[in-house]
Amino acid sequence: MNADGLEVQESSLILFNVLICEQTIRKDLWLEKSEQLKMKAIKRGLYPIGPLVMTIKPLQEDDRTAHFKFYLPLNGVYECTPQNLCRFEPSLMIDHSLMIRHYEEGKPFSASYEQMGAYAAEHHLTLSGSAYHVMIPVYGDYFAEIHMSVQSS
Amino acid sequence: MVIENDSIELRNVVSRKYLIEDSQFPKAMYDFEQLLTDRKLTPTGTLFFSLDTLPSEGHFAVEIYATVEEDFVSQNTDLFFRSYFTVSNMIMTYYTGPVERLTKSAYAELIQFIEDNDWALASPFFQFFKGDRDFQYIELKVGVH
Repeated sequence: MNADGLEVQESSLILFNVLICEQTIRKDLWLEKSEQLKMKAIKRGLYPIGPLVMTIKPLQEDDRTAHFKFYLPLNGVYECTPQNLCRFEPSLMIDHSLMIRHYEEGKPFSASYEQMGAYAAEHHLTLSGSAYHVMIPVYGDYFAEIHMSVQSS
Repeated sequence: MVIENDSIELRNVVSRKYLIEDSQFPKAMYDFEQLLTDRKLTPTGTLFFSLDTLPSEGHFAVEIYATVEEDFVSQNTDLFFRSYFTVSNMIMTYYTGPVERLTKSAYAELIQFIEDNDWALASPFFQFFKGDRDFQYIELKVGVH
């Protein structure tokens, strides 16, 4: 619960100079893969100035594997080449989002998505696109702040 | 004293870049604070800046930041808004007293620490203004790898 006693908040997700990489990997490898993305930036003299953000698309045929899209905000422009297997966007800009802190151990992400859906229905909002998981480090572990875009009316 | 395993982890951060001489820094700070007032933003207390070039080199590029209560600020050419601002794997030192002299020795201390550990700089230097009305101090942080 946040200070207002509400688990779902209206917020925004705005980050600049975003290095993006997509991979289908075992779910437990997300941290390792994101570290590789960070090293890619550091080797070019850049550095992350925001947390790792990721979307996760489950695969029906294998629940240990998922399609991840990683977003890493940097302090400058990363010039991608075809060999880099990545792309660069000047920004990730969601002006209006719903956000929930997902930190209860064992709680499935789907439960948080459902809470956001219920909030949206109650407040006559329409959600669109993917769920963006902003990974927040806490004492050697991570929790996610999940954002979903609210369609402008 | 250098503290390891430090980081910056902030939400709702606005910033503006300036290219200035050493003596113009107070003016840039004033301009930034005025900008926050003009945009009717509510600072939550953390004011800091980053330096892309060392202060001894005359002109330097500086970016001034503030955390604000607002979780959305429309973008324009004056002010950048980021929902999150984080830099990990940093070292930090802090000081209070004659700022000009101590700032130079704080930079020197962190640079020496990086050299002694055979590390490299992974971010610009960030200076945070901390404390209250009775006691102020400065934290100097830089990312390493």
